[in-house]
Amino acid sequence: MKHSSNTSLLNAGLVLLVGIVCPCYVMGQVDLSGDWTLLMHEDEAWRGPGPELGEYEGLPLNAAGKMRAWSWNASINTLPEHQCIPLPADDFTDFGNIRIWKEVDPATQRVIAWHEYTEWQAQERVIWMDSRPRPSELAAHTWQGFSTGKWDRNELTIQTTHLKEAQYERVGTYRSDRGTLTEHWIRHGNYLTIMLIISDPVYLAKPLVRTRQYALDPDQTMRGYNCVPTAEIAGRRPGYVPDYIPWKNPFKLDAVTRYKVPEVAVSGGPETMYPEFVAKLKNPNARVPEIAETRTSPTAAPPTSNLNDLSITALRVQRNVYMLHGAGANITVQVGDDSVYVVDSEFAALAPKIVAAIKQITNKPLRYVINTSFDADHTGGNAEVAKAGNQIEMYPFGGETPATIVAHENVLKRMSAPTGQVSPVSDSLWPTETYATPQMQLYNGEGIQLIHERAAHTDGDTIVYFHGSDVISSGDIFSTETYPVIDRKNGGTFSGILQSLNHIIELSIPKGQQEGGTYIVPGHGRICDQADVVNYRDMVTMIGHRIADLIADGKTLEQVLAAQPTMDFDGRYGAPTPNWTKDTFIEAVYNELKESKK
Amino acid sequence: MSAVRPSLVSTRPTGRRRRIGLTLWLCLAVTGLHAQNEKTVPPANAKAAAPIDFTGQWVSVVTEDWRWRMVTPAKGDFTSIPLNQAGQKIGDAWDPAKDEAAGLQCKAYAAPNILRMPERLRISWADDDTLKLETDTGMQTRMFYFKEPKSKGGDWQGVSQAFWELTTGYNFFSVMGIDNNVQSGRQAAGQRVRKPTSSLTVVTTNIRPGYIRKNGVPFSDKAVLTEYFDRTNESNGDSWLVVTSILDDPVYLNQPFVITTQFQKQTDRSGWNQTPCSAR
Repeated sequence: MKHSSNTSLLNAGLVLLVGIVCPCYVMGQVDLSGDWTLLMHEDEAWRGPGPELGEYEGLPLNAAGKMRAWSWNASINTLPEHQCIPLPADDFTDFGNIRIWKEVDPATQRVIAWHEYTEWQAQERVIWMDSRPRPSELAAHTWQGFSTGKWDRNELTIQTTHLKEAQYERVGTYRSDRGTLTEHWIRHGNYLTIMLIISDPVYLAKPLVRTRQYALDPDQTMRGYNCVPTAEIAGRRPGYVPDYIPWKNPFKLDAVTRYKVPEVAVSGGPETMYPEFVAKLKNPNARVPEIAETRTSPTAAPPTSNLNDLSITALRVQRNVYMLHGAGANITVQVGDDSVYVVDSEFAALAPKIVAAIKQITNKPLRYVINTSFDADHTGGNAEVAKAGNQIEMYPFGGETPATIVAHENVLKRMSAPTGQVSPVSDSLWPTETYATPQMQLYNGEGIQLIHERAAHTDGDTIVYFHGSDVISSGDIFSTETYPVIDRKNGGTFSGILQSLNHIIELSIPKGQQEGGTYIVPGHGRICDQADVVNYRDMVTMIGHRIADLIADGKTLEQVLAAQPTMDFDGRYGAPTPNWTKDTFIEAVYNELKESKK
Repeated sequence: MSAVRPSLVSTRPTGRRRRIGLTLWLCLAVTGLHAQNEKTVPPANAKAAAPIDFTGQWVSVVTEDWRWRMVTPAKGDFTSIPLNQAGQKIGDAWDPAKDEAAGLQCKAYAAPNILRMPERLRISWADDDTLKLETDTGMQTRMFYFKEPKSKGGDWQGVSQAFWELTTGYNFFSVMGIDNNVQSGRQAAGQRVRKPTSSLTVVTTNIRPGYIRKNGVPFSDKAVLTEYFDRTNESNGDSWLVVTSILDDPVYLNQPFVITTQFQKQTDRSGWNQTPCSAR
């Protein structure tokens, strides 16, 4: 007892000391806990029924944002893979009552996180207050993102990153997955003001600032929410994506006729937010800006790193599967009960670092290297990585045989050459085992399915499905960095890319509300789930529709390029690589669609 | 060994006591410093007490209610406002020509709606206890009095009493009188220590009846407007003035009308464009 009382006294003294030395911390303890009812005294029409189609006044959209919005067709919400998409963090406050509570460290009693739950679509956000680092840029993005908070007197300032691309209004106004959200939560008595600042280098010319209000309502009853997607419209072909050709959207001026919104304002843009715009509204000669006037440039490609200085980043994807990221294609590492399988091997120069990174994950022997295509950034490290492992010796022939290199037979065809001719790459990099059937199965503590995707990126693509871990390694069929690379010289096709993306969507299943569940390791970029592939598939499909439309209008390739049919996605996927640009992508699609019309 | 053992046994509790004593001594010493700091500088006036600076020029950024703020909405459009039947009846009878004829063009520029106008604000200290807010649109001036108001209201901007918002002060140790009483002896135990937050509260009453919106949505002379002014500082250098306003009107509203309006800080005084009130 004596010890206990002394300890309590000591603790009390320490708490007192902390409280005095750091009054800012004590002052920061504004209690946000409670059930809050949403007040919709602003933007009710936007947040309830939704704005009119084509109505973006007061939104700081850039040209890409406008074009993207004009492509949006409400019917996309009828697709099963779109039905359960919830309101993201930046639209969380638009609809539904919320509950806020704190998570307290039981030892220190410090608030380590604030939780916010909205009954609308049953979403929960966590705002970390414990100064934890942000996840890797390669980590999966979510609808609610990763949020950290910090008190500044009575304002809780929240920074959110790692958001999935989502609409912040239900008329096709998107914030890309490179966007971020800053919030200020300010409580005044029984009222809570939440200020949101949405920043997005892809679709916004300036940050979009909004405020929402809540009133404390301890008597409110929260309701549950369940979403089960279903095919709402029968008879649609697989992979159907409803959209509008942006320059032919018939609803662009609906708000002008229905609500008398001045035509000069309806398409939005930063100028529509400021008092000066009132004068323009009163000027009958004010001109509606043409979309071509304000086009954005694609994001510049990051400088190429020196491979010697480059380090390999390893992230756990899910269960037994990890992703390694270096300079080339992503590597997928699967750790089974007894051994390790890897998908792709990047460049030879990086092989020692790759092997070291694998050893950091496990000491189990490496048995298989699977190639998703024949590209150098997928196969360049084959020999060195395979040598770091070995095959199980069934016969006493002496010596160790490097790990097996598996790929579709077309990969071997592309890497090798007929007898008497010089092969394009050293035979040490060639697959040692190939398959020519639609699929092949391997086993390493879980079922591993190698599925041949015919004529997609190339004619030798394999996607690898780790069934137990529920992870798909997609190879270059899917990337979060660039438009799909269609290697037409080596059997790749645009239609094949779309088929394969739809196949990945078909194979994967979310955990709930279009998030998590099956994870996808793309050929390049960050870890994804089905929703990210759906987003990418939608983009590729829409671009196909636009180019087909231009072809139908008799446009030449030069005219199609001039029409910039990818403009709204260039800021996200248009960064040029040494072998692929937005123009080569457009050209590949154009040529294929043109040929298919013949 | 036998000589050492008793010494070790007796030293342990002594060490703990020392640590406790040292901790408490540190606490009290710092408390004393803290208390001395607090008692020595009672702010002389509201300007000196200001926990945050709202002065400067701000521009409204209209991203919400655009259809009702940037253009004059149609008669009878009461979207978002918890207007009761009496209020709707008056709103339905809105006639801007009548207002113009009566010289009442500024009805929509009264305190409950003036900050919803697309405009620029200039905020400055009129004196050490009065904050002045001027608008270019409608050329209105509001005075926020931290002491006895010099106006009795009855005009479009009414009379505004201002104060810096304080914390509740119900900190256990302050209520116990520990952190202010230990060394100074000036404050009794049980006294709350209320510290300023970063908010300005303004309560405006006695406002001449006018409009919540330009299309004639009314508020009465019984309306009480409570406003909270907050300022944010963003990592990109932007700064925002965030005004949460709560309008209580037992005559025309079914419930308090709560909105928030944001203004971006300007680094200069450009764009100031004084325009008179307009009823249309």
